[in-house]
Amino acid sequence: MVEKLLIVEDLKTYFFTRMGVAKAVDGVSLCLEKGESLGLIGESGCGKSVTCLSILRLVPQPAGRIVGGRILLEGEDLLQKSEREMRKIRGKKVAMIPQDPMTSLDPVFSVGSQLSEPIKIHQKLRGRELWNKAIELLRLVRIPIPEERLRSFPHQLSGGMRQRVAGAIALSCQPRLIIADEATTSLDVSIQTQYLAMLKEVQQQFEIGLIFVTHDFGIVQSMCDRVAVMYAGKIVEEAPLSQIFDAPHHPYTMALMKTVPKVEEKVERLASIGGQPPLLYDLPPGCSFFPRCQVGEKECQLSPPRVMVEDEHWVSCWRCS
Amino acid sequence: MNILLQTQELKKYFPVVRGFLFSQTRGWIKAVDGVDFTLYEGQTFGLVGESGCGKTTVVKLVLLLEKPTSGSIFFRGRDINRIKRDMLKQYRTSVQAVFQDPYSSLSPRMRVESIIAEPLKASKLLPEKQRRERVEAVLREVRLDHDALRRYPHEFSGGQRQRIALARALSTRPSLLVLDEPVSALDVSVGAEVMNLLKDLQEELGLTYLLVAHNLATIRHMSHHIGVMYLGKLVEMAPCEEFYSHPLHPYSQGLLHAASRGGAVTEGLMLTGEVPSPLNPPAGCHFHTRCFAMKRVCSEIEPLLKEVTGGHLVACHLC
Repeated sequence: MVEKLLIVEDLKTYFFTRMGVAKAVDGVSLCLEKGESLGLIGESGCGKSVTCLSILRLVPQPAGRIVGGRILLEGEDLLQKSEREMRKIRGKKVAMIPQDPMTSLDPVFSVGSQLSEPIKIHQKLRGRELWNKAIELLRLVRIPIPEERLRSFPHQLSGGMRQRVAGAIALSCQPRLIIADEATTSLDVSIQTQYLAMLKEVQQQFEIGLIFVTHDFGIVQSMCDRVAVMYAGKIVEEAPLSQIFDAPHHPYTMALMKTVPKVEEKVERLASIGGQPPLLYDLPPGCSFFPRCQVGEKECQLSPPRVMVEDEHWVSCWRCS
Repeated sequence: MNILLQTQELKKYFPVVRGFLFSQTRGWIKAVDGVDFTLYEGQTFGLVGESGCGKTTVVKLVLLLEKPTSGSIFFRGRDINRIKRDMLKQYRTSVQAVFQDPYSSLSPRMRVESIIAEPLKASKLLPEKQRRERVEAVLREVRLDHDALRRYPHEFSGGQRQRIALARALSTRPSLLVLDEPVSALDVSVGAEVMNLLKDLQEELGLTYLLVAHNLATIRHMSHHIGVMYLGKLVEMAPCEEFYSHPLHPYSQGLLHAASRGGAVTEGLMLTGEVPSPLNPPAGCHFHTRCFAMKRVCSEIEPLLKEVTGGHLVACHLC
């Protein structure tokens, strides 16, 4: 058996607000092997980003709190770590590529100083060594003339270049796990393809585990080995890439796939799911998707069981049991 | 098919100025550089391209938010930059826009009713008494409940907000709607609903759309005709199905290839590099620096948009 890189067990992250308790992540379990890439897909507000922030223990305090579950990274429980210990893990073992490179890079520091910060902290490199390492990293993410780029400031770079710099920062300490939260959403299609191709190559080269958060099925298809579909704080379906596209089981997954217009063919009318995602502090009892589900029945008012429909293909739905 | 709007050699250059007091123009950014397209009544023209290709400038020119450097826009046969003021008012009511982000395009301090009624108020199209009726009618058209009128934008979800923006655009009974990335800020399932609604409204009200988007799938779903822009120029223009089955320009092929993932990446078709700076675009064909089929002539002579087959125009030396 391959050693698991990351195991998330029954993770619960709640936000305590004036309106009530918002169950942003409500019992999410995931696992990731070394060098594997997992696509986390779902609509806005379904808890994708909070799941990622929970893994990094960066849930906004004090409103948000991780109230239950375990997060094991290479066997170590991240939820038991102190803040000091977490700081040694973030950036070194787990790194993140944020969504918007416009806001994630600091406009007043040069690319070089931002890129060398994690290396200075985690690997204690200084001077020439540090500089060479930074150049090497920029080369890794295919930035031309890296020597010059290190002296540039973020505003002097294009969106694609900036996102490459953010990628280089994430890769700087050879992390075991990279979390890419909508990392290519703000890029143009052609730049996006280039960026994804680069990321995939680097990921395979260093056997990095990758969690790719997105709402774009196309990206998942080209990047991921496995896909987890989230809805209202829960994972409703998890399967290897080929199975989720050929044989989705959960009504939500099926509905979501039909709503996406395709470049390859023209459909007269797009399917729509109808209704709204439920409010997180006022979830319906039982299956959260039941109010919008077209095939739901009475038993859906009870919590659905997690069933294995095929090898490694899990669905939380009464219809599949 | 009747022609609703037509542009002729439309150009918009922005000066690049250095210095403050004794400022000098150092150069021009050719945001739109000789664009010709035609909108047919009741149909959708989709404009695609990467950021910075001039799509939004075209939108601004059509909405009269910018004056063209040269060239003209004909609306129902009249040049809109030359018509009299009262005609201009008529043009402004018959062309309305829906923008990308419904979170910033609706004023948070206004009730939905005043938001939707504002174009009517500004254009003095209807007496005050009939405004309410019109507002209720357009609200029904975008499938929103009547009680939405008294509420504020923050009480609505993204999809509902985009519907409110659409209701506002429809309130003057326009014949042309300019849709600037209408669904790219929305979730996929919500986006699908808005696109379906737009298609229904087009049929019900006989609207013409000028759709600007960077997502080729959205464009395919919505449009009858398609134009691909690159650095201020149209490089390919064709009927929708023709374009998607036989894209001719290497740039279009690359874009389509990038959009239809899933399959393996074909090395040759992958667009490499980035869009060059519009301040100093490459000589000859603007695309030659990224083109996989580049020949010598491409870097020397600028290709013109010419018809290849019925209605399919392309600007490429190799087609």
